[in-house]
Amino acid sequence: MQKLNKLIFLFILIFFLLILTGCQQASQNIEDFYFVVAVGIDKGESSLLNLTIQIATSNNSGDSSDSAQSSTSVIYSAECNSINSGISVFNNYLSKKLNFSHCSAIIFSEDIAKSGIRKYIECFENNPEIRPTSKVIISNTQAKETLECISNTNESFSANLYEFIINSSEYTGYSINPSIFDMFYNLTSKTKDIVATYANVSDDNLQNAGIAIFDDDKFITSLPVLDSICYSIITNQLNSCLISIENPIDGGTIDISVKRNKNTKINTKLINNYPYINLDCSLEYTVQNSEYNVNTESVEKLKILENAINSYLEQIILNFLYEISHEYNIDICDFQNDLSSNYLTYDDFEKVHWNEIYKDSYFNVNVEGIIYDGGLFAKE
Amino acid sequence: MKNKLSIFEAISIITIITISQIILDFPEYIIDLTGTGSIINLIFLSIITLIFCKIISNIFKSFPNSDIIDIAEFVGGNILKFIISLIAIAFLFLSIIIAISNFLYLLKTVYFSDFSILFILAFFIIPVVIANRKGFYSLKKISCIIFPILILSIVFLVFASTEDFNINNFFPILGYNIETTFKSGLQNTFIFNFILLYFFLMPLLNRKNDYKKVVFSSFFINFGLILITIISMLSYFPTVINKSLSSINSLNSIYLITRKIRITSYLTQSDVLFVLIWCFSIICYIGLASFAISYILNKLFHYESKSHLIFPTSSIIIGGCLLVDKFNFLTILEKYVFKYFSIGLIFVICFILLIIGYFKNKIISKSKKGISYAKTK
Repeated sequence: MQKLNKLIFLFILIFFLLILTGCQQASQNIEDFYFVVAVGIDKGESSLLNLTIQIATSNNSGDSSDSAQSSTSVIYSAECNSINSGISVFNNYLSKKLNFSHCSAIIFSEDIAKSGIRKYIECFENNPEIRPTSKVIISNTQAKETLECISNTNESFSANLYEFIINSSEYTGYSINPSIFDMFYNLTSKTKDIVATYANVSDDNLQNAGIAIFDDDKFITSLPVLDSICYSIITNQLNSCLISIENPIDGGTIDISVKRNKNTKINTKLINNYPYINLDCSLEYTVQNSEYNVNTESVEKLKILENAINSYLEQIILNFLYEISHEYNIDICDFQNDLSSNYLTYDDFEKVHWNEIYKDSYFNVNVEGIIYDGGLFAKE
Repeated sequence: MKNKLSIFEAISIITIITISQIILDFPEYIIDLTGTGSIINLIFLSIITLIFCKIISNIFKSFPNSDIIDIAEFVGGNILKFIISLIAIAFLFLSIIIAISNFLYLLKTVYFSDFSILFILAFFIIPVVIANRKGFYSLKKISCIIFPILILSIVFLVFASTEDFNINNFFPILGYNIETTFKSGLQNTFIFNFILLYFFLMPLLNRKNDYKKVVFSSFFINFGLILITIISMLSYFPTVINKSLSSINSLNSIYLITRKIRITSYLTQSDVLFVLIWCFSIICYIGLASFAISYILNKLFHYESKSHLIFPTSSIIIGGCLLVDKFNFLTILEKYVFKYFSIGLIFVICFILLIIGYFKNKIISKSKKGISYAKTK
């Protein structure tokens, strides 16, 4: 009986060995694909869209000193009426099938973003190959130009290049990096307005240049980098950033590195049916330049400097908040969600009619920051 | 003793059922119904089901060698035994077909879009047939090995998504309204369908005194797993008013969470790891349910070798899976048929039967001066 069992087991193994060759029919080999690193979407001339893809191709120069990920890139464009039909056009004239599993950035031109990006975001989110962590960038020029600009940089091209560009916001605070996943769910839930990275192409250089803000799915305008810093402080996304303020002690300007100390506390309540939003921000500062001789042992001078930084930040945060609420009526900081915690049920909360009252919000910002150190040579 | 269960083995088997249902995205239906009130709803339901479990464990003290099929026979003779067995078998077939179809849909959509469904189906059916042929011993040992790995995968999934944790996503705490959370929300008791196993567990246990321990410890483990999954899903997906999560996520929500997890910059597509582990869980789940079908059939018809029953069982499963090839049909099966079927079977039919059995046993033992059903068994 045991012999028979072994024979059956052997037969099953041989059977699997034979049927697994069926995998050949649907080859998943790496050389059978073109890996798309970024997608650009512009308004088309003869069709609705101009779809551009950037493909990483292996570097055949034979330079063995390059890293394993080093490669060059090729850009293709096609006029099409939808994203999927564009992909089919590319698949038709390219020798390999397109694969989007390494796509790290989706770039929209301002023009197309103004007409609404919902259908494109939904299309990308519905594609199982696209990673939900792919970043959405709004470019001030044509998306194709932006992709070409990336190709022309002197840095070695790799699938991670876009991530490095976008992730610089973590140490500069000059932009934010929302993913396609965040945009999709915020568009669907309608509790929070969407934001995207705003990229500026000038002199053949691409740089983060603030936040792109939307009304529903339509791009309204871009906010400058200072507003991006304010947004990061409010939404607890700030890692570190650099600001320059007027030196209250000796005059001139002084560079301060700002880091998050504790999460910003937001308290949203209704007073006379108007939203009253109180923000308590806790930050830590480092004095970056030593030429102004900040004496870290002088408590009084430090206090003056701390107060100056605090009031500067309070002012720019207030300006940012009033701009987005009173001017644009968009809730990108999710104050609605914060207010909802004061209510027991949706039915009670719906009576508030947040969208109608948000534009009349009153803000109070308290920034409490401490100077932790004055750099290496800051002592007198 | 080879086919009897220790405490750990019993808890492993019960927990694998819940984990498989978490993987199959059943918690999504809870959030669909009660929104942000899901946490309160789940705590409310857990109190009710805990009382329910207490009653079951107390009643089963009077039936130390019996399961619900024996009790059905005791209450209504062979006819009732036959009816209850058929209902339980139908439920088990339904749960297997839903499990395979749901997981096949995920695999086919994301990884094997070019492959024939029969080819992917074979990867589930063949191990189940082999495991069942080997007997219950192999099934319980596989469950014990896979159980800690599955627990780790769920816990890791929850902690990996803490980056997106936003406490405001849990408010308003009572969801849409009080009526939905507490009255309509009673439908969510279907998530506690692992309780069905408590009705069959007693004769399978090594020591009958362990029954209470197994019931309560497995209940709290399973409740904890469901709760942390709900918390994770709520913090991850913003709750959409008047639009269900399942209508937005056509794909498994739990799988969508794994897609966003990045374990360092080297392992960016960690979802494949989770899916691989989950494959074992689904195979275990199907294996256990197939064994239960053979077990009930054997009780009904007293076959010489119950391991042969896996062949007709697996043929029906393959047929059922091929029948449910439309995703819309699968959603209807999950959302309406399975949900109400599990509530009806566990919390109505089996429970009422158990209560009747208990009182009948009491009446008989009184009239025969202390000779109860338990003693005659």
